Amino acid sequence: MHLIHELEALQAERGHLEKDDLRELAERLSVPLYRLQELVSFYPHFRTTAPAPITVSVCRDMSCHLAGADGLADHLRAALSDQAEVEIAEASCLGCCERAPGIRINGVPVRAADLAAVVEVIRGGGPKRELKPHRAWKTDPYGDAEGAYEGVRMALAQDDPGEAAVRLIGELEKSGLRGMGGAGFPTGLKWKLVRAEAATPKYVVCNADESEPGTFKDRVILEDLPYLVIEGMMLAGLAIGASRGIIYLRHEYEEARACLEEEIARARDIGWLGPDILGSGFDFDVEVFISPGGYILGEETALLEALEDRRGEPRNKPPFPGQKGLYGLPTLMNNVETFAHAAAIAAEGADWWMGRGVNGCAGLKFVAVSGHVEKPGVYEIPMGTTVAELIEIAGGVSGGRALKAFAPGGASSHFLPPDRIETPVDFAALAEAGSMMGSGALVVVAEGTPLLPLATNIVRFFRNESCGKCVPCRDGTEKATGLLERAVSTGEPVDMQVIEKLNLLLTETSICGLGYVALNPLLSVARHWPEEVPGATGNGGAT
Amino acid sequence: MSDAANQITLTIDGVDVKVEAGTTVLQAAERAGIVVPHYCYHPGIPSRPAQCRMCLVEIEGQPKLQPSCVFPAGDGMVVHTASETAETARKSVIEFLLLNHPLDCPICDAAGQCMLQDYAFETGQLRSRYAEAKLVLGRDRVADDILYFGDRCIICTRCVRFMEDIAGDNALVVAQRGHKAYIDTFPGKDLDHAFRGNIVDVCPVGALVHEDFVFKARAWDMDSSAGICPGCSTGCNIDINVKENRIVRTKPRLNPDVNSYWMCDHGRRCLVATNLRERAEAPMIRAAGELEPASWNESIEWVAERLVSGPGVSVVSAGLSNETLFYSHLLLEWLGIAGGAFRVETGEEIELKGFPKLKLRAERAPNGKGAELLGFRRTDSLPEVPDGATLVALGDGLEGAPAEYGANAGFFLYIGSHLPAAAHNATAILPATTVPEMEGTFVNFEGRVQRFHRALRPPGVARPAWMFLSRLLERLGAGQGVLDIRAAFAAMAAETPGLQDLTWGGLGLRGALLNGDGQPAVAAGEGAAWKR
Ligand SMILES: Cc1cc2nc3c(=O)[nH]c(=O)nc-3n(C[C@H](O)[C@H](O)[C@H](O)COP(=O)(O)O)c2cc1C
Ligand code: SF4
Ligand code: SF4
Ligand code: SF4
Ligand code: FES
Repeated sequence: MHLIHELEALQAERGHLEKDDLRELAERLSVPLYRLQELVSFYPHFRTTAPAPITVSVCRDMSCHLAGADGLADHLRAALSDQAEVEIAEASCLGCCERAPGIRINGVPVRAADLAAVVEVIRGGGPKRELKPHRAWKTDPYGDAEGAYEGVRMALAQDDPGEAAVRLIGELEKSGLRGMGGAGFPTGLKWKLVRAEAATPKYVVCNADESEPGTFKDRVILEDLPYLVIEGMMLAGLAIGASRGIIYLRHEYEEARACLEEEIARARDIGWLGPDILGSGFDFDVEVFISPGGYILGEETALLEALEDRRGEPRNKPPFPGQKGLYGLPTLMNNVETFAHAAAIAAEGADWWMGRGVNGCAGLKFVAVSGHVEKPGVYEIPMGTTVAELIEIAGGVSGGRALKAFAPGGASSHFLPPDRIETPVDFAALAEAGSMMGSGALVVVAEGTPLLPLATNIVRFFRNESCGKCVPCRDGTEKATGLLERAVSTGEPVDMQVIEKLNLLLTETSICGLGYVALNPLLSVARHWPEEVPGATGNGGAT
Repeated sequence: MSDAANQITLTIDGVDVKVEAGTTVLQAAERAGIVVPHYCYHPGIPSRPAQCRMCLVEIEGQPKLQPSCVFPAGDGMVVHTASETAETARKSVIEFLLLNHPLDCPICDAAGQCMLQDYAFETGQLRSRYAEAKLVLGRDRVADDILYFGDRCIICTRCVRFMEDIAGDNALVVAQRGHKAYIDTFPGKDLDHAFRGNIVDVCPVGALVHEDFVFKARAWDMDSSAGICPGCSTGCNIDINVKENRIVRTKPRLNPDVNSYWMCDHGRRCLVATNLRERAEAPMIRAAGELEPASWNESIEWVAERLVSGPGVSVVSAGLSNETLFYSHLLLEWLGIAGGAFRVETGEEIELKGFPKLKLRAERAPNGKGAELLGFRRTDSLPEVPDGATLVALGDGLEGAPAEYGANAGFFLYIGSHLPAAAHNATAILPATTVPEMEGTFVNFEGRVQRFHRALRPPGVARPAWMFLSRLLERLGAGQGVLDIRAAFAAMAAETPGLQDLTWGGLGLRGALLNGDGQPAVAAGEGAAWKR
């Protein structure tokens, strides 16, 4: 068992991790104590003090900030000051931005209209977990798990497995499918490169860490279409020559975990997962790895470090995971949505996929819409749907207000003004408009919302979530946060020259993407809304 | 060493450099005499996290700046270490380090030796432009003799990685993450490793400081000289730091064949402790019943007149230099005293896992091997002194001897740097310098002849023993007085199998293995295990 899972099990049993328990565990597993210590102090999920019988986590990040979460934890503390049994802690984005402000009580997400309702639930001993009905999605060729894995059957039915793999990769390349995890790397090419690596064994990893504020599309895909994600991973296994798949899942996604585990068990039962699938000689199995927490674990190499039981600090690239990934072996990593779409393309063909888009774009896209819209949630749209249409689909700007700003790609993307609202949701178009597809999260900001506090909130998120491995990001995000917090609280001008230099430093010298993007939202606000950022002239900044 | 097939050529700042495949760009640049600043990379620590972002360089064909400390040199690669992008990046990183790094240079112990300060000066960043309050993580202790100043720490993880990669005892970890990160030990688990002092040396910014050194001296008002640790038979190469003629600290000096960049904590304490004891400062002769100070001329004359060949015993020391032992042996020969021997203290042997050639060796003296080579043997005890016999005690501190030891000798010649009780029974005392007060050579456990240099002024008129012994021999008609270490070494080498062909100058700073005489004939510098 992984050290991380030993620690999780111990914490589940005892409530927290005490010095003496750690010592005992180290002895039992014959690992040096320091190995446990560095893990415990790195991962936010681990705690060294006893939790109260009722622990409440309150999200303070972007979408929840927009929903008025600032100070919410304090309000709750005040309202519940008579309850010794209750502990209230602020947490980073909990992945339920559609019900902002996000609150979890003893790990269960709460749906509540207002503060009083939350207090009510807490006084009632916490919420009950509710199961949502599954919805139907256009990318799903099957409709339900029963009919799934047709793409794998088709590939295995071919005589020459090598040829089947090449054909599959060819279909993906033709479809133009790009990675949905943020960077948009062409999926077919990635599979081809990993296939070409000589070293074995190889691994398939599904990145289901999804922790960026505003981003929760993968959660819905995992809950509703676990078989499609698993099938995508199997196909990847076939394509690159791997027989082990790992789904790296953020620990807050307990419903998704249940759905995945149920499907894995079912697939194993009927022989879709395991050795010698359909008598073809192809072995493939999938396991779920529960992340001990932290946004940075979504970065592919940090994720690999966690899988190897270390602190989740990104590696230097090159080498890339496709060359030297898990345990130094070629590893194909894709986002949840990428695998789901890959399975759809395998079953229905590249032509079908390309026909799904509109406005000259190809395929389908899951987008999490949050912030100031009437019906926040996950929507599956044809690629090329405009932002304006998507906002309409999500019920329009909430309270009938006018649109002030939107970020099409989550907390790490640039904010754009209303005059770009006709931009199609598509990699190239969004980049051209000055932002990016990012993690597939549209954040809508209504008129009347001050933007500097919002940008400050986002920079603070990156500061809090920086792993601290490299100097520019560790110290740079701290610096920027300090400057901005002071500007927000005192109205003093922001030294934009310093911000620009910080940005240069962060983008040029950081090890990973967190550092590259940390100041994006701020720079776009200073560029498009200079009047809201004392000290900004409006000509600098974002590209 | 490496065949041509393994050679690659790359261009760094316009200079063509030939290196073996597998060399990093940073090492290749070093080969070309171009220094790429670095904090987290340490040539003696194998792991390379490339996290300080100091060594970024531009490599043609790469979309982003790349950390040269890990980037492998490639054939035909074109590298720019000083292009505008690379320089700008480096400057900002330094500025950044200074930001959370208190500018308390005037009181920090690393001042003058701090890489941060060096680069900051070099890039002209004397003052940080940022005005925010600094994040202070306070000062703590990571070992009972090592302090940790969290606000200076740049989390380069050199200390952590020294413990992990080299000491093989992971007593240190990075605790927390992001802007809250700091270096810590497990609560209740001490950092008590015998080589822990090296974490202070590898720390590039003075965040780790030896408590007994804290505020003792500023790096720029210390002198430094190249010595050999006398703590055991390994013979670690060290720098001896001296202030006002006192040794304030010793630090390892790189010798890939002996100790790499490291030394043990026992060794660190050895020389600092010698500051404290009572010294022999002037020659003394028992002319009229009592020991009285005399001049060197007078004393040598007086001793020479009274020494006679005949029955006698002697004791020497494995702490003496080869040159002193050589002249000691000549004197004992002249006196007709056979069977000269030395005592050695022993202790537990402790290996440095990541560089196993370096051990705190059981034999806790630097020159047992040299003493054997020069004709002495080991013994467990001081010799019995027959009544009326000659006794020559040379460099042995007479520990464990009764106070009246030597009082029954016919002539008791005491040569040493300190004055134990029994020395007061001597007929004559000739005051010798200690090792840090002189130049000379030792032979370490594997037969490596190594030079040490003078770090301190001797007290009074104490002299190197080889010098006055050679004079005494000349006066006895048994040799030639020498005043110069080169001549002393040459005289010894000419007559000592194993040392032939070696010269003082030729030993250089890395030393050379003994030749012939059953010793492996390995040339200087070919340390087998060493790889950078
Ligand atoms: C700070 C950071 C966080 C990331 N988080 C995620 C994530 O939660 N999920 C994800 O799929 N990719 C995330 N990524 C991108 C991954 O590193 C990687 O590019 C992606 O998983 C590749 O899959 P794709 O090609 O299917 O997009 C993150 C990247 C960075 C720099
Ligand atoms: S950029 Fe930030 S998150 Fe990424 S490795 Fe550096 S410190 Fe860690
Ligand atoms: S204490 Fe020194 S060596 Fe250790 S991480 Fe900090 S700066 Fe680096
Ligand atoms: S190992 Fe021996 S020679 Fe080296 S520092 Fe320690 S005591 Fe001195
Ligand atoms: S020396 Fe290369 S990144 Fe630190």
